[in-house]
Amino acid sequence: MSNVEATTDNRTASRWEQLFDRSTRELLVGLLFAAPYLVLFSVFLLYPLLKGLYMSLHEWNFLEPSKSTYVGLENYARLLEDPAFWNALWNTLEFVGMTVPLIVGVSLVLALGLNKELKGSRLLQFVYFSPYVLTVSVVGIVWAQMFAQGGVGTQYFGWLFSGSPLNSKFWAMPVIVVTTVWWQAGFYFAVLLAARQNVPERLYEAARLDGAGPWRMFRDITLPHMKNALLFVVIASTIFQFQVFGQPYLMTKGGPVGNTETLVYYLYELGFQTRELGFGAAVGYTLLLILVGVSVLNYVLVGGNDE
Amino acid sequence: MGRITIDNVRKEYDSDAGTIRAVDDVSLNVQDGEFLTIVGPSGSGKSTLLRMIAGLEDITGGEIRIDDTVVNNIAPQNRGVAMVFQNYALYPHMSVRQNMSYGLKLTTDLGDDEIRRRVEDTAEMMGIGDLLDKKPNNLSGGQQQRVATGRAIVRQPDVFLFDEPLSNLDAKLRLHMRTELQRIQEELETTSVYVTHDQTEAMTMSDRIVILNDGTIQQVGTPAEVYADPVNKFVADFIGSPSMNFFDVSLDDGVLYGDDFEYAIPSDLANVVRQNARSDDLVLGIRPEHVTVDTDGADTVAATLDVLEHEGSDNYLYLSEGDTEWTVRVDGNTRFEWGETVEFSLPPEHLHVFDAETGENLVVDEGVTADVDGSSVTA
Repeated sequence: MSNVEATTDNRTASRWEQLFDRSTRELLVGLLFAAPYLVLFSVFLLYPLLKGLYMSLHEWNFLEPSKSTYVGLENYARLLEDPAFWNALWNTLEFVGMTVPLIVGVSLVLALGLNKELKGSRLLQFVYFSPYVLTVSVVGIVWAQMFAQGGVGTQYFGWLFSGSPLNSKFWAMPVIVVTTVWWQAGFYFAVLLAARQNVPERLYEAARLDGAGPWRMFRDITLPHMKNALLFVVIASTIFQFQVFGQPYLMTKGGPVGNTETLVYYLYELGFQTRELGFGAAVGYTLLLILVGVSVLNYVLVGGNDE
Repeated sequence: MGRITIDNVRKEYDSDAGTIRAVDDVSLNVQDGEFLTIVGPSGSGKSTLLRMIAGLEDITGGEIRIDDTVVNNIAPQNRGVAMVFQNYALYPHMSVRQNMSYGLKLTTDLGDDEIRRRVEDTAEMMGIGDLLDKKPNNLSGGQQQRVATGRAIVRQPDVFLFDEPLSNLDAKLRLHMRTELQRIQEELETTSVYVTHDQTEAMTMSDRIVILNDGTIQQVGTPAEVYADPVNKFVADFIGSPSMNFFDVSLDDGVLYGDDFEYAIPSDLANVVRQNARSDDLVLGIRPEHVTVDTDGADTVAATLDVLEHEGSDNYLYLSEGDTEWTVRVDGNTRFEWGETVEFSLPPEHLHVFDAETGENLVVDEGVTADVDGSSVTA
């Protein structure tokens, strides 16, 4: 890349000025500043991205990559006929479909409720945010224990489940959803709280004089002001939740009978258990395409940038 | 109708430093159709008082009535008031038309056609007829101000409340909007309470002025009254630009003794001062425009010219003698040289003598309603 040249040229200023005109020099200097990120981006994002695409077009040989054979779109065709893939896709959609609305709803309610300067609202802000600082392993293990056979949660909700809900085809996914909402909502709550606090109080005063009640104020002032933040929360949490892996891995191992096996979990199984790296890469790429599609759809539906 | 009666109204806030009294026992009547300005420095409680009339602040004590209804516990939208905010508080996501019709939609049962007609009439009156479909962010400051005023007018309220509505505009536009607001108020004859920290706005627009300081009323009166007969040093200082000259003096045998000057005053004035004074520590006050350089025989004071400011029709002389500094307004054609010694006299009818401790004006004309303690004033 050209940033290497830029450093050598920089030492002899006069020659460097002779060699390049002003705009080229600015470009090179700019690249030099961008270099640290560009290097990291290339090594850890661009290369794996392209390598993944390359792998997804091959019958990949795990032990001797040079012996991999090019198969074109065969992996993708196989994927469409793979019931395990469809199961994982369905489970992922189910998870996202439950988690995202809950996260948005819970974080919005918390943000609106804790916006007021009441006694203890600072403490509550801290309390609600704090689960987010935990890693998925801590969250997963704690909640798995809570809802294991004989766990606190299992006993407490004994009237609801018979035995551990993590072994129930019906309850395993909802428990993972609740775990995720508990873990993640704090972050989106902080984002929405910041957005809510940016709404000028004067507008609410003007609205009160105009005769607006709480619902009108929410609809006509709060919501329009928080639209961009809400859009961010919806898109960011959707993209993040589509990649769910840690919770089912730690809590259910994708079970019972594949009922909580998500796309990334399936991808992990293909890669690290059956060693079908080419096919796994095809699953990964399909997930990427889905996410791009979801983001565009989200933006079009919720965004509608009219300002 | 729109008569406002404010009776012994108090506003207290709890803070870490204890209870803060923002408005302290204020009583005031605003006549129907009157343009009343509340003026005072930052933190004087003027906005709080206005917001209590609007219903945006709770009233800690006392009573506010609009016409004959006690409004203490009536919601803002039911008080028959409309307010123009300092930063306009236009709804940014709504067009000008929606901004103006919002209150009518929510508080009246007028039909869409009637609302549309009223909004368009008001917009025409405010000169914003062609902006109705724009969003506030696409308007200039002056246009936003017009929309904010129009939003209040279209409601046809009993009372307009203005909270420093012109302070975000540049000087030229502010002057223009000042006359505009006066024109509208005269046309509509709606009772208006106008809060500002700008004494020029207060002097030029109002039927009467209320001067507020530290949450208490200092004086209520017409612009001419508060200018000519300020009841205390605070009012004298606050009203008028540039502000009044003040000098620490003592009175002995009809002569005022300052640090660097002495000046004989007529015996009747000296008698009034002696009668009213509680101590020997006095403050002499005279406005720059009342100091006269045509001395013709009266007692004079001399001082050296430090700075001469040309302001077109007027010149301002900044004079000093020892530690005593004088500001004097003279005609724009009068010629003085820097460093020159200027002699001037102080016409007794324009002299104010204040008690140094209480600030009370000792020579104020009788009949001026005033209360230095600010406990209660009704004019």
